[in-house]
Amino acid sequence: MTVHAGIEARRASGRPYIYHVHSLEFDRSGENINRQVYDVERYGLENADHIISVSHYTKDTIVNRYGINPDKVTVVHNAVSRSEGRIRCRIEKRPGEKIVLFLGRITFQKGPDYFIEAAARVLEKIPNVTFVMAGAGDMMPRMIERVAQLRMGRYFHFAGFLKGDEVERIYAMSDLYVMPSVSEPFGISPLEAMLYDVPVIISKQSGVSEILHHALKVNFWDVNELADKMIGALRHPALVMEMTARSREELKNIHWNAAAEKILSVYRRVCG
Amino acid sequence: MPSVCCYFQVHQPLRHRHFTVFDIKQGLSYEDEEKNRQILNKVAEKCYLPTNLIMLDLIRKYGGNFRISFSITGVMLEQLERFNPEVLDSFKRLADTGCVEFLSETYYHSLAFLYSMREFREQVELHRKKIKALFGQTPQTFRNTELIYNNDLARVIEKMHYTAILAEGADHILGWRSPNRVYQPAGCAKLKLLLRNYRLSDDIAFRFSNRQWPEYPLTADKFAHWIHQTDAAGQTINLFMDYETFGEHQWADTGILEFLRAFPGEVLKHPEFRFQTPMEVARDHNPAAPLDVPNPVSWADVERDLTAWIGNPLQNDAIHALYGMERKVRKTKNAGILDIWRRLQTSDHFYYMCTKWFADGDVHKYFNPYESPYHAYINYMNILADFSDAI
Repeated sequence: MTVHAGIEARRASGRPYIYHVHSLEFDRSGENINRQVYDVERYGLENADHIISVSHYTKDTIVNRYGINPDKVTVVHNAVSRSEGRIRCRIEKRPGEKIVLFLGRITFQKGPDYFIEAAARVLEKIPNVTFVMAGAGDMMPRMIERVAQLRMGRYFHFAGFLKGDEVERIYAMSDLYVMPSVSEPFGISPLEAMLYDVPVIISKQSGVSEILHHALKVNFWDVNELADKMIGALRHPALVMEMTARSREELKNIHWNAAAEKILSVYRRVCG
Repeated sequence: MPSVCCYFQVHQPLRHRHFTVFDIKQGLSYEDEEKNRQILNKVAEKCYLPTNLIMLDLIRKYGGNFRISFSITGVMLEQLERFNPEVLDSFKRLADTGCVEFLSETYYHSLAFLYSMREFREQVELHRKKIKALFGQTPQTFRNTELIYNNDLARVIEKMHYTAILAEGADHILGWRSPNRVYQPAGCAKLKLLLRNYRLSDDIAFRFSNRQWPEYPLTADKFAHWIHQTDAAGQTINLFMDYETFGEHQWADTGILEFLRAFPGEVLKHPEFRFQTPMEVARDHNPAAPLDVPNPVSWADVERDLTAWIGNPLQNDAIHALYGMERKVRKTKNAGILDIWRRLQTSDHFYYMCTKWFADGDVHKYFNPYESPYHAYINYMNILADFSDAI
């Protein structure tokens, strides 16, 4: 929505205008896009001197849905911040209890409905699992209804919108993090979960899946497959051990400095 | 008289079907019959059929002077019987020339030696019988799965009356010694040890089509020249590789088949050189020295150890769960169940779970039908849960 301001700023200053894309109308709304929003995005992309996208996934959308020349788009993946004084929370859990976490806006884009359907399938096989849905959004009432309908209420917590140390606490408590997004330009939250040695399952329809090798990846619509991988991670300590150990190594190479360097080199190229 | 000894490994695993936790107790089979058939027939077209034809021509052309050996796994032979008898017939024709030795190995291309001696012996025996039945030979030479080898294996194999055994000529077991000598395994009195010359073998198997390689393109006369340089009495140059090198790992358009056609003639231009099979090398060469190999060595990856199959928690968990079932499996006294358990032992299933992405990741990826080692592990453990339920 700031597109017009960017273009106006270029006109006034005579300097190049770079469009850094973190999300597009197709991510938020699927195929039922708001035409006005799309037109503004397209106007901004067409007029940009250069475009930075947070993933190849988003770049593909820019190229295929907005008709932009791929040479004009540079991919710079996001990273994750490590909070300085992070303490390892010691959390009490019932013995044998496993916690599976969904954390994000409860909206179409984040795929909360797929999380719930998969949870129902998991409970067919493993009884002692608690599913936590942390976040708020327009789909929340429907999701609560669906959970009730599936008679899973006692296995489900809607934790609401969490902040600060509440988020850290819930990551530290979790045995598995699931991001079943329908369309995710990047998706930093799996990286945050990985900081707490939590194994992650992510949808292939996400930018972050391009940089993670030690996460389980599924198509967001494939509920059976998602449930199978959730059960796999909950049942097999060997799997969790290997995934988290390798992820710890992988995280070492994912930091904002590298992203900033790359962005700076784009700025230099465009300005020089 | 120096020898050139060629052995080709012939193997295709029985790949599993996609098997989720919801498929357990549904009475489903584990293998993806259609996929296995497709892959086998594809490789037959690209490699087995044309290369066997070339081998047959070469053997006829050079009389008894071009000699080779094959190790064909039991699971491979079964697939050929089921999906592609034409390939099996062409191997039989090669056997009929008298210039081809067939080696012994575990029927199921398994790691049984490391986990169950009884199971190991039974699988070797099964494979021996199969080779005898199909090709009319009783194998004299043993090669273990993926060329896994150590002193203990050599002792067992000597007691089973083999005359020769093969292993990787890895730097860390040889030190300053040459791979081109015949050795005596530590603790053995008769058995001879033949070591793979990995430099020359991999020039063909890995580097042949690599345009970044300074020696590219590799021609038969250049390669024969390198072999002739090792001109010394009593030496043997052991070229051991996957048979699929010809036409599959190296596609026909790389010129690999033309290379093969020209190769024996170029080697034999030097009157001192001859081709021999492993059994013949063992018969004609005295051991240069004993060789002590206490820890297992293999032909895989840069490490030449076991970490491609049993190096991470996933692999260890899966293989211990599998071999932990042996007693229960045998107690059923059910041949069908025993066979299914044995098929689960094929080493490829554990190879798919390897997470050594970065150094050797690309070759692992090439052979891996799964999206990731984690998917491979979950799939395997689901199958194992179903099997455990069945027994």
